[in-house]
Amino acid sequence: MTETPFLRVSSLSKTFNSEGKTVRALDGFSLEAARGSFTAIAGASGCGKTTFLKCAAGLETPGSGELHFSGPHKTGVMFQDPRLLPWLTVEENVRLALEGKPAENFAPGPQQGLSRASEIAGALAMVGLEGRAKAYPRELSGGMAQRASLARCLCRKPQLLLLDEPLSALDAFTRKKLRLELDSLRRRLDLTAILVTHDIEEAVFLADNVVLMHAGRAAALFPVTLPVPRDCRGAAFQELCEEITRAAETIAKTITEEDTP
Amino acid sequence: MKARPWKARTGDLFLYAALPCLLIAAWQGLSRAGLLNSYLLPSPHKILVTAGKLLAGGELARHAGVSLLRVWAGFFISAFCALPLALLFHEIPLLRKLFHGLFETVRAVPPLALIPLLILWLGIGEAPKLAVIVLASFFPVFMSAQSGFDSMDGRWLELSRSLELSFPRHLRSVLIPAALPQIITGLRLGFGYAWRALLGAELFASSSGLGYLITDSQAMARVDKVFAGIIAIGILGVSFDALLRLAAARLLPDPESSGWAAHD
Repeated sequence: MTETPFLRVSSLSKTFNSEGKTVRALDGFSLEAARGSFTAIAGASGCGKTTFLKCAAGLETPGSGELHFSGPHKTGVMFQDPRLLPWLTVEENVRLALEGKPAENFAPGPQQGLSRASEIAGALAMVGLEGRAKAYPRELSGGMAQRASLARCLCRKPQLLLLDEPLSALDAFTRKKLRLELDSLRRRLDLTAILVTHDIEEAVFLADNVVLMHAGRAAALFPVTLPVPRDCRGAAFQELCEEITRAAETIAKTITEEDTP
Repeated sequence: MKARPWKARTGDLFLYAALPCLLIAAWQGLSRAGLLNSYLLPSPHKILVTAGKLLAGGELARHAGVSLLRVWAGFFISAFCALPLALLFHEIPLLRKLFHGLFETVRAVPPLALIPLLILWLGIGEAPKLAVIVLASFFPVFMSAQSGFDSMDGRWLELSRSLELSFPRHLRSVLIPAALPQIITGLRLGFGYAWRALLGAELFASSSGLGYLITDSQAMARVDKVFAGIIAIGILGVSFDALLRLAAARLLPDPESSGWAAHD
């Protein structure tokens, strides 16, 4: 018997009006994500991946189609920028996650009895920021700020982690380090995660499934069965990255040719 | 904001004071040489002596106290009405559209032009004076706050929604702090306008206040007292603006900036 997916996205469509023109950001996008899985949606800029993520987070309303969750689905969103409020300290920024509305039918975890202060301290410790609780965002490096953003995300105790290119603005060294930490945390907390990225290597490193997105549609699906932790320099890893890149190029070419009158 | 070195601040103060001191010295010199009409332009020394007498006799303090009370009362009424209204207009665009024409028309009318009507409607007590101060200071506070709310970074609104913050929490933790630099600028501007409207408010049917002191002294041909009143208005205005700047510095990391720098 097949397990009911945690998230089933069916024929999601969304259009925007931009300068008098209708832009189709999502055009029948479909996806299934199992509980505890990591799905990466890769694609070029403007392919609709961020729009999908915003729909999943409830920040955008789809024009048509359906997003179906098989249970409680409190989401934690990590944006491309850390989005820390500059007038609050790191600790206060993280505390904000505890001020939101609690999820319906949310099954409390083992940390239920903890006070807010210890929850915040725990989240900060998880991302290695225990000593920076009283710092203001302007006093943090890019990597630290993104870690604080991850702590805020985790403090919500989400069932679904939505990651909107959270590592893309970081330098290569910090990106690799945070990628590892994100992977280990996600596995430790057994979270379902969806990452949108234009970085194929990042997608293959983190995900169980890589969905190639083009022109608002899911164009191809690549299951990643490589053992973890993944070795980016390994032959199998490189081969899969190349295969996905080639597929992305072919899809882009085919669809462009189809669209040309 | 990092405190600037003491030497740099002293240097700035010296520069600020240099030109006024030079002008006063030249004025005193010309007066002593008999080159200025002492009736129309009394010497700085005479003005200082008169101001000292007014201060020692308690007259200046009494008038200044009455004026300050009027300005602060009017300014608080303005802020109390303008800030919630700006928020309401930000949240309910229909309300903003409904009131747009009316507000723009009232804003274009100088408050002093309304004094005859205000006296007719409100009598000759404190009410018309307060009304002039309120009308003068309401729009700077209201418009700056509205612009602060409107120009909030859309990403922060998105964050607030992603964290499912309640409206009161969003207001307290996101919207108001985001608009704070502009709210503070508006309050400083509003206080300046209130202070400037004071003289006009005290010109009519008044028996106290610095505005009254000035007009009464003019009627008595005491130009030295007129100057003493004007100088008191200037000094008090600058002092309260400095106080507001100080308050702004405590609330904002960089009060000179027009907004918050987000961490990108």
